[in-house]
Amino acid sequence: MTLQQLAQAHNISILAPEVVLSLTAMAVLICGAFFPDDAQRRFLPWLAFLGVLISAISIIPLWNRNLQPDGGVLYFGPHSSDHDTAIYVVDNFSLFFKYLFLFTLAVTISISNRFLTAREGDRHTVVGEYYALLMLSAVGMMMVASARDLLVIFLGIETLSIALYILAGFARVRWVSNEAALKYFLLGAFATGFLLYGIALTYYATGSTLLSQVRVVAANPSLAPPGAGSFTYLYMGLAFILIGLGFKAALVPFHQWTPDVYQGAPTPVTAFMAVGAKAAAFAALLRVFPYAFGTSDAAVIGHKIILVMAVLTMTFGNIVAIEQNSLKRMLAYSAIAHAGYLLIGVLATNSAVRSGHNLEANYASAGVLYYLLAYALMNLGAFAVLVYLENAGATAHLPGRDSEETDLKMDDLRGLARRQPLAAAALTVFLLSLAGIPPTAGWFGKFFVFYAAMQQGLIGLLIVGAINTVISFYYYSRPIVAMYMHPEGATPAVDGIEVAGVSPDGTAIVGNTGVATGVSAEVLVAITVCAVAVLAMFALQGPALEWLKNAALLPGGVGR
Amino acid sequence: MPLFLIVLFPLLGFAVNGLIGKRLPKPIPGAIACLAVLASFVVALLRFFDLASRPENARAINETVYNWMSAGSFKVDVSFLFDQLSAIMILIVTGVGFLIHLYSVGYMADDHNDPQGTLYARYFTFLNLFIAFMSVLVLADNYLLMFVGWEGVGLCSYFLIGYWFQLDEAAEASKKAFIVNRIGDFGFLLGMMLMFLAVGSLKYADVFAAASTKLGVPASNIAGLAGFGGVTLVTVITLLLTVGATGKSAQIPLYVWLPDAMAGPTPVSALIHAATMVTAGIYMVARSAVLFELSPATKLLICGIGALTALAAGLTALAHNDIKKVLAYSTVSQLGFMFMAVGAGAYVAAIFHVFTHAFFKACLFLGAGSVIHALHGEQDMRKMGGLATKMKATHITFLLAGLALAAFPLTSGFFSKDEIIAQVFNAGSQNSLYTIFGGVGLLTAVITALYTGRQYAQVFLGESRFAHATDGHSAPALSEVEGAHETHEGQVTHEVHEAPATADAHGAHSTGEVHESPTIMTLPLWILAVGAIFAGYLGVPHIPGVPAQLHGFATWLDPLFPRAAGAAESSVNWVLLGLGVLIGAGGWIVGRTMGINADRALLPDSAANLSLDKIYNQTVVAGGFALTSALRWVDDNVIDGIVRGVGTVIMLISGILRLTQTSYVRNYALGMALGAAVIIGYFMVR
Repeated sequence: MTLQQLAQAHNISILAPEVVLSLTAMAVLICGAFFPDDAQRRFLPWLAFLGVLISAISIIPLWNRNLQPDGGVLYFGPHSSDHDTAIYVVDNFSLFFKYLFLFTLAVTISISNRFLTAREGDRHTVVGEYYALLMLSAVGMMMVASARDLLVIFLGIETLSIALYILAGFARVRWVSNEAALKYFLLGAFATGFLLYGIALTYYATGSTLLSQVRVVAANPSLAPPGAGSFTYLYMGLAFILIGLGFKAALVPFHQWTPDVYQGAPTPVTAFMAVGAKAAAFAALLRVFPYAFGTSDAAVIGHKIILVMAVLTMTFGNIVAIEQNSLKRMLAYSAIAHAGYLLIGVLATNSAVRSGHNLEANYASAGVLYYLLAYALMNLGAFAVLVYLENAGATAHLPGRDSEETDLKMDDLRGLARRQPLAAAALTVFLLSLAGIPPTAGWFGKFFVFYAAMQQGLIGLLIVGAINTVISFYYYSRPIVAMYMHPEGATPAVDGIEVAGVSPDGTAIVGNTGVATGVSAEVLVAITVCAVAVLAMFALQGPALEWLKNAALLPGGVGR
Repeated sequence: MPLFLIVLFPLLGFAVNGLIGKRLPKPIPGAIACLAVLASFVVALLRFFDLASRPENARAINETVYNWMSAGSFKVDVSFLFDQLSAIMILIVTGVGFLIHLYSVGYMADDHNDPQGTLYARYFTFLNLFIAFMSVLVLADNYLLMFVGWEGVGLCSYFLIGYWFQLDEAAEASKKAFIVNRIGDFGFLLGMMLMFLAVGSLKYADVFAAASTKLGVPASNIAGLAGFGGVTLVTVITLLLTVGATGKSAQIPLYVWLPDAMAGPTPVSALIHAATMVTAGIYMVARSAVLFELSPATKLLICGIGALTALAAGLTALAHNDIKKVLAYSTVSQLGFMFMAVGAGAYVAAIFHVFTHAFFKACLFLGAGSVIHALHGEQDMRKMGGLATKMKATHITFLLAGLALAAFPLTSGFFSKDEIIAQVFNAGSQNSLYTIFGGVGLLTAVITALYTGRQYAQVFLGESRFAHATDGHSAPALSEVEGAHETHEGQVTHEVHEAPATADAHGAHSTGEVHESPTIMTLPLWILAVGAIFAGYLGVPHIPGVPAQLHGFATWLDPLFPRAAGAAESSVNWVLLGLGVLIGAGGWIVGRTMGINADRALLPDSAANLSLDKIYNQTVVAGGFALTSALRWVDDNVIDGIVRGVGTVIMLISGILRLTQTSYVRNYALGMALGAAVIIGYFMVR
């Protein structure tokens, strides 16, 4: 079969977003090898950004593509008239996630520049590789979102993970970064084993890795092909898959890598990882759990397991976050807690699917998507503010600090509202949203998952969620109090972080410690966009939810 | 032209000025803001003409922009209602708003408190945002959206009162305004919740349609309100709404924030604290007329609050010497009149007074601003005088607007105030208390004429008492064009008297010469002054022989409101009309005579000391403090004890759980393995 035939037979055009992004990654990599340092730093981010933009534009005509008779699907092997046998599907569900990943990528690119040029890029030029890895990781996430086959999910997760292992250690001169990378890699490899083993067991029990087939057989054991293993293997398969995905989504008890890696990795990478990888894991979880397994007996047990995990994840994340002094670490635990809230939505979806309330399932699943979108915006924003402060040299020349150490402490924020009113206001918006206080996206996010839980009678879960929300107010308000109510502390922090510290062309002004002080306009733009979006999602909740209902999965496990 | 454009234009102005305004040179942010409001005004005007061309029963246009939120049975749309009432209100908001924006461009051109002009764009940013929120407030077709506008204008008011935040007075005043308004908003919110509980919707149309059936029931039908016994639900709701209205419209007991709010720039006082925002409470009651008509008790209370506020604030105005403070108390007093009107069921008269008041009070404030501008920040009327010849435009416009405020015969204020007093007396047929309130209204009208005439005479007539700087500065030829005053250091010092550092200290000029304000400031004055005189001719009483066009205002609004029982239509109370002429003209003349060269207020300082503020401080605030300290004891010892206990336990748990983060990979892997074992084990044994 020639390439041309393949393209025709398999509808290659639906892969446009992934293809564009991959090609851009290659181009960036090649340019990185040939252009001088200065040119790279100036124009590679723009090239990467252009790729993201084109990729996003190429999604527009694909919206609702799955509704057309030729379908937005790809098959393994010959073309079939049965959409259910497709391994790759471009439904609105996946397109929503692709938008989410591309937005995450765009924000990450715009906040990465100074970290690459001023701080870490002191010895070798690695700019090209950095952007290429980011984009390839995003391609992996996109694959996960579109996968209708356990093996494709696995491929996607590995693609995104391997790129992230490298990115976590990208600040090569800092040992914490190296440590983060190694930890992430070792534990990630461990988790990958679980996932792959789970897939194998599921295949043994059902004779297929296609989610549609798994669904059919799981619901009705008599349809299992001859020679398939007993149903015990299906249960074990689901258990192993949940463990593997649980690691990627940082659910308790598979969360322990999260704080160390989030703290150690360069902050832009942390942002990318916290949002992108988690969203990808939830995309996979939504397709696999409520829909592929949802109607089987295995899901009854799975439901209980996830319920316990949700309670543990919320409670653990919130309680430990209280004690944190490092902002990045606090956000890491907060990210763990938010995975717990998201699980509430997943469980509500599962209950609705099982009881056949398709409308409610659609609503719950749309609620999860809304939450994910809010989660992405507020976390990207919060991390962008951290990057902004780090760039400004907020932690440089503080007594008792390693000059390389960029980790922001709670005390560093003291009196920030006076020095940096814009950054302080934006961070406040993000923290309020994370805490779930109106008028922000985070409030509606929590509202939707809680409401869905209430509809499904998951009252206990609802109460745990509510108590946890109250606990979280404590640590989300701490930075706000420090910024607005405390005078500058004994540590005379941060004179460098004045907007005046930028030279006219936007490049950093290098202070006498050799640490760059100043801000970059693109970080400010990213922060502003996120903050406005967080508020706009509140003001435009109705239309947003309508749009997301179109993206939510339908009973068959495929979106529109 | 869709209605949302009216909101969108100022919102765009807000966005542009807020994002890049700081980088634009000085007049540009002002110009952007003016254009945005002008665009809104044009849209509003076009829509008004369109509405007027429709038959009377088709004058309620609903435009849904989008569904804001939906959750189960709770559904709220961002949707606008354009009917006779919102049309009038939006014309006031955008029309007067535009004039004040224009005036501000001149007024803020050189700001003594902000010589570098770093705050300039901020001013127009929030002024635009205010117009946007105010438009949402009056155009909303449901209570929640109205509440969004309600909170939004409160927020903008907070920012603009505290515009010169480096001045303690301004910072304190903005805080006070914000906090006092929270109390009112709480009432509004509770009222809204009850409404939703009983009706299941917050849309005006739904609530009003269900009012008599679902809200006329005893409040004890709702769980948790059993203590209210037989009081009808609608009474509880309207009382709560009234709390909200007293906050926003500065009525007793929540009026205290308004006089302090004068710490903001004068155009802000004119726009927000005289012409538009403070009338939101009256608008809200008028909008909810269907509900209030079902509760005579609430109406009586509102009328009483209005009468009391009008009288007390009027008396306080007599005792003040600060040009802006007098106007502020006068505003509180006039709002009291409007409250009396809605309390008596005379909604049309109330809105008519909102309408005329917007012209003459905005004009008075802007005129006062012009005077303050010319006298380099002087606000004490005892140090003014004789400005009539030096500031011709300001003088004449102030005179015209002052006459209107004093209800001088044949000015706009005369017609609107007379209508209110007549209606309150009419309502006396339902409850004799209304007759007393009407009497209070008459008395207050006398007081109003007195202090207004005195203010006019003290500022503009007699001899000049303004102390010139006499340190031999050669006065450069002053151009009226803004920006002509280049030196900021040659600031005038008032040697003779210790001028308090007023918030409105404005315009550092190198000379003490009094000069007229630039055209961009006097033009709005003229337009408003013309309105102050002629706006009244839309609401002339039904005197036989007067053409119908001259009471077009009532004809326009009447179909919207339920007619109060026993309200005698089309009859003219000749006695009251005559009294009105006597009061307006007489009071003015007496006040004017007393004001010339006066070096003290009409009431002694001790009266000012006995003023509402003091009473308020000694009762409400002191009581509040006592309650607070009692509650604080409980809070410190009981609630905090529990909270701290819980907190300590959680912290302890947190510290223990933290130990699981050993940062050793082998331990993490072990944790994962154990977790996996538990999960798989559970799957196996089930």
